This record gives sequence, C-alpha cells and structure tokens, in this order.
Amino acid sequence: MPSIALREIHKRFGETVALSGASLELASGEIHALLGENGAGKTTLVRTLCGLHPPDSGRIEIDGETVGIPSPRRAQALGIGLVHQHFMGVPALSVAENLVLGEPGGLALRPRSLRARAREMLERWELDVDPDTPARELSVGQLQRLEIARVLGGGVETLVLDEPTAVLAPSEVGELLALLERLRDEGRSLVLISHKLEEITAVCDRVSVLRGGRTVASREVAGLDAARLGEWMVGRALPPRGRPAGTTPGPLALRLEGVKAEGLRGIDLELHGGEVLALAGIDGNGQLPLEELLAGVRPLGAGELNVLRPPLALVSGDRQRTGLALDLSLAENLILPAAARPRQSGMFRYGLLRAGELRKAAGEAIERHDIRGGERALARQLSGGNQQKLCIARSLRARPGVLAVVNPTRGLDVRAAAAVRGELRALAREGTAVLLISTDLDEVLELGDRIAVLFRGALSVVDPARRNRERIGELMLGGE
Amino acid sequence: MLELGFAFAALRLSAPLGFAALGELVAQRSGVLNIGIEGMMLTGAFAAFAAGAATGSAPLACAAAVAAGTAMAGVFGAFAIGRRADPIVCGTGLNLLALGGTGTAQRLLYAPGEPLPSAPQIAWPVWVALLALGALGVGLFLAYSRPGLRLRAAGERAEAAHAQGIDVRRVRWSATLFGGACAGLGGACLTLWISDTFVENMTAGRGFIALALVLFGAFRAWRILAGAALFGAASALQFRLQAAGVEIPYNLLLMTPYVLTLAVLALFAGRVRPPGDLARPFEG
Ligand SMILES: Nc1ncnc2c1ncn2[C@@H]1O[C@H](COP(=O)(O)OP(=O)(O)OP(=O)(O)O)[C@@H](O)[C@H]1O
Ligand SMILES: [Mg+2]
Repeated sequence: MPSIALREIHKRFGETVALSGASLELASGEIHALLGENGAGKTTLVRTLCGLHPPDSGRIEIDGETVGIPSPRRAQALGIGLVHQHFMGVPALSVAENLVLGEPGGLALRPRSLRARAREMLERWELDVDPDTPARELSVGQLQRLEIARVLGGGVETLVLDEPTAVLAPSEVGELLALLERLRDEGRSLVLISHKLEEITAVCDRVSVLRGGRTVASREVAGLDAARLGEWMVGRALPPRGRPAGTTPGPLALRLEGVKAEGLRGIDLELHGGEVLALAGIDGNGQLPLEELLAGVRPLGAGELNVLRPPLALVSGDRQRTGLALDLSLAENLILPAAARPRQSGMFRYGLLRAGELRKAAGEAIERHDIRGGERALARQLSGGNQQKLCIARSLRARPGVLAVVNPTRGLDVRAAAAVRGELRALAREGTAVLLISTDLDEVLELGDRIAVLFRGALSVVDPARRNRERIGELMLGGE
Repeated sequence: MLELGFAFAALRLSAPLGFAALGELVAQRSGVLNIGIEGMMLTGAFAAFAAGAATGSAPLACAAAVAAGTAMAGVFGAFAIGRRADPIVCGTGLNLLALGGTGTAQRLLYAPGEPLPSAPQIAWPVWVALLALGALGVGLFLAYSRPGLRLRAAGERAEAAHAQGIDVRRVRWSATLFGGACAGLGGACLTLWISDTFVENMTAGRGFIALALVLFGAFRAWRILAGAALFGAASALQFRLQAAGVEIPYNLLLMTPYVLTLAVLALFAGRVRPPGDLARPFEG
C-alpha cells in the first residue's frame, strides 16, 4: 500500500489564492484528518490529489517518487478515490448507472445484471431506493450515501472523503466510521475531512490543519480532544455549546393541520413566534417533502397549511440544487428574492438593478456572516461552507416571520456553526418563529425549545420530560 | 400500385432526414449541439455526386460522402470543442461554408451550360437496411452499452463525467464526427438515390428539419425515425396533391409537411428534457 505526500502545493483560481504551500503526508494504513475553517482550501487540496485541479506548483509523491496526476483517470489508475463534498454524479442518470459510470469494463451493460450489482452495493449502505430511479429524485442524504457506495464499490486503495458525514444521521455516521477503521486495518490509507471534531478524535490517527491555504500543523491525534482541536483550528478558544434559554412563545405563526402530500402521511404542527421547533429524524423520512411543501413546489394533498406571520423564508437542505443559482454571483444570489418583488425591495430603479445598493447589501452580508470569496465570485466558486453561509444570509435578509431551515450548519466549521446557531436563537428572541429541520441530534437538542421527530412522513412529539438522546434516537427509528 | 408508389415516395423523402437526425442525436446526447447538419448533408451530397460521377462506383461515392460529412464535422469540432467557440456560430458558419463551397466547386468542376454527368445509384433496399440497422444500433448503443452510458454522462453533466475518469473531450469528438458521417450519408441519399444529379442547395432545409426531429423526437432513436417517416409521408402526400391539381396555393402545400411534422411531434413530445450540458463547452 502506498504512502502519499503532497508537498508545498500552490493553486490559484484567477485572483483567488486557494492554496499557498499546503502539504499533506499520508502514511499507509492511517486515517488522516484534514481540518480547517470554511474556505481554508481542504477541498481544493484533495481535488489536486484526485487530478481535478492539477496544482500550479508543488509536488505529489507516491512512495517517494514524484508523480503527475493531471486527470481523474490517472488518479483512478493509482487507486485513489474521492467521495466529493457535493454529489458528483449525474442527476439525470439512474442510481444504477451512476454506480457503474466510472468503472472500466466491457462493452455491454445488461440491465438485469446492472440492477443486481447496484442492489448489492446499495444494500450495504441501506440505501432503500430502486436502482432505476433517476438520481435527481434522491435527497441530499441519499445522494451522499450513493456517492460513498460508488467510491467504495470501486475498490480503491487510497480513499479521500470530503465531509462525508455532513448529512448523515448519527447511526449512519457510526457505521461509516466503523467501516473506515476496517479499511484502515486492511492497510488502506484514508483522508477524512470533517468539521465534526468528535469524529476526528474518534477514528483518526493523524491530523493536519489548513489555514488560509497553508498547512499550519500536523500531528498525532492521540491526546487531543475536540475542544483542543477546535482551538487549534481557529487559533483561539471557542465558547462551549449552550442550551436553550427558556423563551416565552408569542402569537401563532405557522400552522399545519392534517397535512398530507407525497411523502407526508399527516402532519399537525403549530409554531409560535419566538420559539424554535426542532424536527429531528433520519434523512429520507419526510424532510425533503416538508421542505418542498413549505417552498410551495410540492402540491398539498390534503389538510391546511397557514403562514400566519409572513414572510416565510427557507434555507434549503440542498444548497447546490435548490439553494443557490450557481452561475450567479454571491451578491446576485443574495438579492434574488428582491428580484421577485422589485418594487418593494428598493434594489431596483426604473426596473434597473442599482449597483450601489447591491454592493451595499453584499458588503453587509459578507461582513456579518464572514462569507469568504468576494462579492463577485460566482456561487459555484465558493467553498461549500461559504455557500451555506450565503444561503443563511439571504434568508435573514427577508426579515422573516417564519424561518424554516434544513440542516442550517451543514458543512460549516465549528466557529461558523456556532455563529449560525447564535443567529437562530437571536432571531427567535426577536419574535421570529423558527422551524429547524435537522439530522444533527446535537443541534436539535441545543436549539429546540420543543422537539418532534419525523419518521416515515409523520411527526411524533418528544415529551419535554423525556428530552434526551436515547428517547429521540428511539423515535427516529420508529419506536413508540 | 398507387399505394406502393406512395410508400416509396415517403420512404425516399424520409431516409435522408433519418440518417442525419440519428447522427445529430448521438452528437447532442454527448453535449454537442451542431446546427451545421444542413451543411454537412450538402457537402456529403456533393461529394457523393462528384466521386460517383468520376469513378462510376456507388460504394466509393458513398464513402466519399461519409468522409466529406466527417471532415465538415471535424471543422466544426476544431472550433466548438477544440477552441470552445460558441456552437451556434460554428454551426452557422458550417452551413454557409458548405453552401458556398459546393456551389463554387460545382461551377469549377463542371462547365456551365453542359449537361451534368449522372451519379451511380444505390438500390432502395440497401438504404432501408442501412437506416434500420443504424437506428437499432444507435438505440442499443445509447441505452445498453458502456460507451453509450459514458456518452450520455458527458452530455448530461460533463463535470461529473470528467471527475469519474471519462475523457469528455474525446467522447464529444467521437460523437461529433459520427454525426458528420451520418449527415454525409443522408446527403448521399439525395444524389445516389432520390436523384442522380447535384443541384445547388439541394438539401433545402432538410438539415434543420433533422435538428427539429431530434428535439421533438425527445432524444430517442425510434421516435426520431417515426418523425422522419411522418415528414416523408406528408411530403409525398403534398406532391400527390400538387400533381392532382388540388385547388390550394402550392406554397401552402409545400409548407404542410413541415407544419404537420412539428405539430404531431410537439403534441406527443410532452415535456422534453434535453441533455443538461447540451451546447455547453467543457472547460476541464
Ligand atoms: N473553481 C473555483 N474557482 C474560484 N475559486 C475557487 C474555486 N474553487 C475554490 N475556490 C476558492 O478557493 C478557496 C478554498 O476553497 P475550498 O473549497 O478548498 O475550501 P474548503 O476548505 O473545502 O472549505 P469548506 O469547509 O467550506 O468546504 C475558497 O476561497 C474558494 O472560494
Ligand atoms: Mg470543502
């Protein structure tokens, strides 16, 4: 099994310097954590290793010999596989087709054997979907698992995972981590990028930290705890995670009565101003249908949905597909809702966009949410975490009466995640009704004034007296 | 007898479209929008005519048409794929180039005023067999072969295809050249079957109908073929009506196959979803 070293990698995209002297030494048979704030260059670094962004300068060594990896094909030949941060398959193709797309092989693709193979790979990931479904119909969590199944199916020797756990449920995370350890024990080398520091202390052997495109430290994980790691990453101590301070609910803001739709079996819910209602649940249990229902893109089958304190703003669970217009700039994405109501927004004069206002809005959001990349950068060019911050910033601009957020801290670094949680709490204090739909149990426990669990398209409310991990975990699996 | 004659006429009028549209289907599924079909057909028609007249060999004439269509596609690819130029501009250029080029070549090669030589002919069963095999082959290739899957991936999301080790440019190049070869063959139909001579701009918009067929045929081989057949039948009918002296202005009659084909296809097409990265040059 090879050992791999990336040395002094530099990479720029036009004006943006993404990497300026990043290094990573990966020994065989280890799990190496790659840590860094949003925009630090983690994704870019692993993409150079996989032939997607050949570096401007710097060396890649395999077993001490300098190699060039000019294309993903070359990386494949070297046995390097990457689980991308965002789904890197083809949405229009079926799940089965996505699974075999990259593999070498004979001319013919027999539908039956293709389906059988796909089933096998999916089963291992408990991905309960028909192999013939187009990938575009899957939720982000399902896409994530599809991506993992695809790469692991390819029999790689060096496996790189870019935030694979961002949208997985705790049980799935445990399973994935156990699998990674097994792969390591077989002698494979792994790189794990994650903002969840507990995962790093749990399974990783070494950790390298990137800051501003440069590797600032690399050491053994043994003896480090999550708090120390976080401190190390951002350069100072982080505040401990809080618990909800009791709030006094205000007037009713959102009501769902007997709501049925495709994927929802009957939801009753009342949300008041000033409170956070957290919906926990394993992805695929109605999160996407509920989100789409609130967004107005999924027809209401039966029941009633009333927004009593408009406007309702939504942070989509899939920032790349429904959250952002990837080919518009950061600033343009930010004011997209204004374009729908040009008169009220004050963004337009005589139907023309006011450049000064646009820049002001962008400047404010960038400042307040620490979005890195520049107002002119296309949304596509932002790092995953910065895309997420942009989605949050946009939803807050609307001064919503009801704010629905789906996995709002997905892909955010510890500091940014803490900031977003702080914003949500502050918003609730100011009277906004917040509906948090999250697969992250810690987040649910930390933010929810009330908690309910989504299971197979229905809600079960968590009794405040039994508000703990075990109880919620039970309900997530359909327990009574 | 009359019915058989009608079916023949329909077949002859639809075959050139069928070939060209099948080729364009493959190109578009790979993400390449080549609107220069008309030009590639015209070049093919001329090459078949010239080679056929010079050598007297129908197979050679056919090969010349295929080569000419492929070469034209190569010109298109050099700009649209090689230099990532706008495909609409490239395709339009191809059409103008072919129109001017074949006209000029015809005047240079054959003295004006003298009767043109005639090209050898290929019998209809050969064409029909070729077209049927072609459609079947393209359909099977796209749906049930690994290269076909890769080709579709390159057209749907080039970035992802690239990330999974597929050489997107090579795939698109191959598809483009195949499209050119098919269009050339479609052009050969005109001079080796439908008539035995070459007339300036004799494709008369068939390339654009082929383009429309791909879209309205919902990017499926058999539907595209059905669309071509419909167009052929409507054209044949229109000639019948003209010959029968029906009291309809003949311009209106000329229009009917176009309108009818588009109307029927549009009716059946439902919501067509073109390949996601169609006409987007690949940057990687
Ligand atoms: N294709 C691109 N074009 C322009 N800039 C880019 C591109 N890809 C990345 N960048 C920039 O490079 C920097 C590093 O981005 P990268 O995606 O590597 O960050 P990251 O560490 O993975 O962050 P995150 O934790 O948010 O995923 C960012 O400033 C980003 O805007
Ligand atoms: Mg990243």
